[in-house]
Amino acid sequence: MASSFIFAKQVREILKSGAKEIEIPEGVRISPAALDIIRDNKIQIKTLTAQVVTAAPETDEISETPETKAEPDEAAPEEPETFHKKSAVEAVPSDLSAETTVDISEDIVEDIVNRVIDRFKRLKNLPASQTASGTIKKASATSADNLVICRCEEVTRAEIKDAIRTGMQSLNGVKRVTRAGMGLCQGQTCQRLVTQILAQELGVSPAETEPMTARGPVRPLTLAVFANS
Amino acid sequence: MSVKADVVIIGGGVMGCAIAYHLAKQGLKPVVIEKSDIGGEASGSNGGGVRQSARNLKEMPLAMESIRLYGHLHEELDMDVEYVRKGNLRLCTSEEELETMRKSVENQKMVGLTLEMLDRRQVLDINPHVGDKVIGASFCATDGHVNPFLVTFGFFKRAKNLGARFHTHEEVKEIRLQKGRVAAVITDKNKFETDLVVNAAGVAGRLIANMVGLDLPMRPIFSEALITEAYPPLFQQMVGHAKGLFYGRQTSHGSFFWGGFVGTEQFIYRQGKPLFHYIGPTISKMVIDFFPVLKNLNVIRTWSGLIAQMSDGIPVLGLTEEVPGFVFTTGFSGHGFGLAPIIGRLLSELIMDCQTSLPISDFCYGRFFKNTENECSCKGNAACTTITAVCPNKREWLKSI
Repeated sequence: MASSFIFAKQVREILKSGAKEIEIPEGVRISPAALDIIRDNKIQIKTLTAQVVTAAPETDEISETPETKAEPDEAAPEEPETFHKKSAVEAVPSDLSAETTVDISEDIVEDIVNRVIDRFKRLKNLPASQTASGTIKKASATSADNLVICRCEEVTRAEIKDAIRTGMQSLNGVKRVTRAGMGLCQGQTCQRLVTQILAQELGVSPAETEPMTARGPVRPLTLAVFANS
Repeated sequence: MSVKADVVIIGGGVMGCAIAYHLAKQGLKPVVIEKSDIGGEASGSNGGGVRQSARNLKEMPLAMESIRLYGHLHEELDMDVEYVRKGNLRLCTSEEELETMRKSVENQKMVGLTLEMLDRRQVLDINPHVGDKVIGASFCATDGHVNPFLVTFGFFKRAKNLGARFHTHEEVKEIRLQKGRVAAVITDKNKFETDLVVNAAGVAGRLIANMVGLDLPMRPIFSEALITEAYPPLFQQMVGHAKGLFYGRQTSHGSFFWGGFVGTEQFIYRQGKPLFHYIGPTISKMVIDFFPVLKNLNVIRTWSGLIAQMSDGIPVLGLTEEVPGFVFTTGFSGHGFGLAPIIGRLLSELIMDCQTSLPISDFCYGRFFKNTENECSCKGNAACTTITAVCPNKREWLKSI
C-alpha cells in the first residue's frame, strides 16, 4: 500500500483534472483537510470495492470504536468500506483517545475534534484580515522570528526571545510570561524548541537549562473523570 | 564582589517588583534579589483574585485603594494585565453559611465597602451557571481578577527600565548587621552594601527575618490549583465558596482556573511543592457541584503553591525598632496579590519619606508583642516605622518582657 491517507493535495489534483468522483482503495483514510475539499466540491467517493457513497454527512451511527481505529495499518482490511464524515474525521485523534481512557465516549471525542477543526478554521481567516495592516512587511524581514514555536498557544520565536532578553532565565519563567507550554499539550511539543532558544540566548548548552516543571495530569482529563480518580 | 546599593529588596515576586518600580520611579536604584525567577513562587502560582469582600477589616482601606489603582494599572505599566472588574460571588449552600455571610457583610459595610447579599434568583441573574446547591451569595461588584504573571512581569519590566537592578537565581545567605543596623546583604554570588533591606520574600520571609535575629509567627500553608482547557466565555466574575473552600475564575484566554483547600494542607510539611492525589480531585468535585456545566471540560494542568500564613491572617508591613533598616513586606496570608499596587506605593513612600499616605500601623511587627490591652504598643506608624525615631512605648514593653 503506497499510503494509508488521502491528502488534500491529491484531492486538489483530482479536482483540477475535472473528475467528479474519487477512487479510494479499501482501508485508506481521508485526511480532514481533504475531506473538507471533497465535501465543499460535492465529489463522490468511490471505494475500490465498487460501493459508491456520497460524502454528504449522514446521520447514521458509527459502527467502529476509537480503539479499533488505533490499530496499526495491518488491521486495515477490518475498516468499513464506507467513508462517513464522522469516521474520517475521527481518524486523527484516534490513537490519542485509545490510550488515555476508555471512559471518554465517542461523542466527546467528536466534540473535541470538531472544536479543534473550528478553531483552525477561525485561525485561517485571521491572518488574511491582518495582512492589509502592514504587518506582513515585518514578517518577511524576520521570518525565522515569526515562526510559531508553541502551537497550542501560538507563541512565536520573537516573543520567546523577547521574554528571555527582558530577564526570564528559565523555561518556567518564559512559560509564565509568554504562555509557551501552557496549552493542551503542556509543552510536550514545544519544550525542546523553547529550550533551544533559551540555551542559544543565554549561551549555554541545552542540557544545562532546567526543564519545565512537569505537572499532572499527563494527558487532559475531564473534570468529571478527575473528580472520581 | 562588593556593590553599593540604595536599597536591597529580597524577593522578586509581585511585592518586590512593585516596590522596586515605585522606588525606581522616584530616582532610587534598588537591587532586587530573587532565588528563582521573577514571580517564581506565590506570584506565579496564585489565582489572581483582586477582591475586597471577605477581607480582614484592617486590610479594607488598603484593598479599596488597591482596586482603584488596578483600574489604571494598564496605563501605568503600559501593558494589558487582563484586569476584569466584574464582581465577586461568594456562594453559600446552607442557612448557616448564609447567616455567617450576612454578619460579615454587615461588618464590611460598616467600613465603607459596597456589597450586597443575594438570594438564589439574584445569583442566577448574575451567573446563570451555578448549580442547584447554591441558595444565596454575597456580591461585591467592584471586585475582580487579573493575570498575576502579567502584573508581576509588568512591574518587573518597568522597574528594570527605570534603573532597578534584578539579580535572579541568586540566593541571600546572610544579612550583616553593624551596631545593630543593617549593613550588608550577602548572597551566593555578590555582596551588597546597603543600610536598607526590604523583606519581600513571601513564604521565605521568616527565614530572612531570622537572619537579623527576628522571628515571625508565620508558617507555610500548602495550596493546590488546576486549570482547564479553553472554553467560550461563560462568566466574568470571580467566584468562590462562602468558607473559601474553593475559588476560581475564567481567564481571558478561556481556561478556567480553580484553586481550593481540602483541610489537610496546613499539616503538610514537605520539601518542595508536591502534588497530592486527593486534593485535585476534591477541587474538581466542588467545581462540578457548583458549576455542573463544566463537568466535561478537560483539566490540563495542576500545580501547588505555598501561602505565607500569619497567625492573625494579616501581613507584616513597615520598619521595626529592633533592627533599624529592616523593612517587612511579608506574610500576606494568601490574599496579597490584590494589594500589590498599593503596597508598592506605600512601602516606597515609607522608604522615601518615613511616612505613608494610608496608615499601616495595624500591620506593624510590634503587634506580636502585645501589651495588656489588645493593641500594638506603638503610637501609629510614625513611631513604629520611622528609621531614626525612637518609639518610647516600645522601650517600655521591651523592659517589661
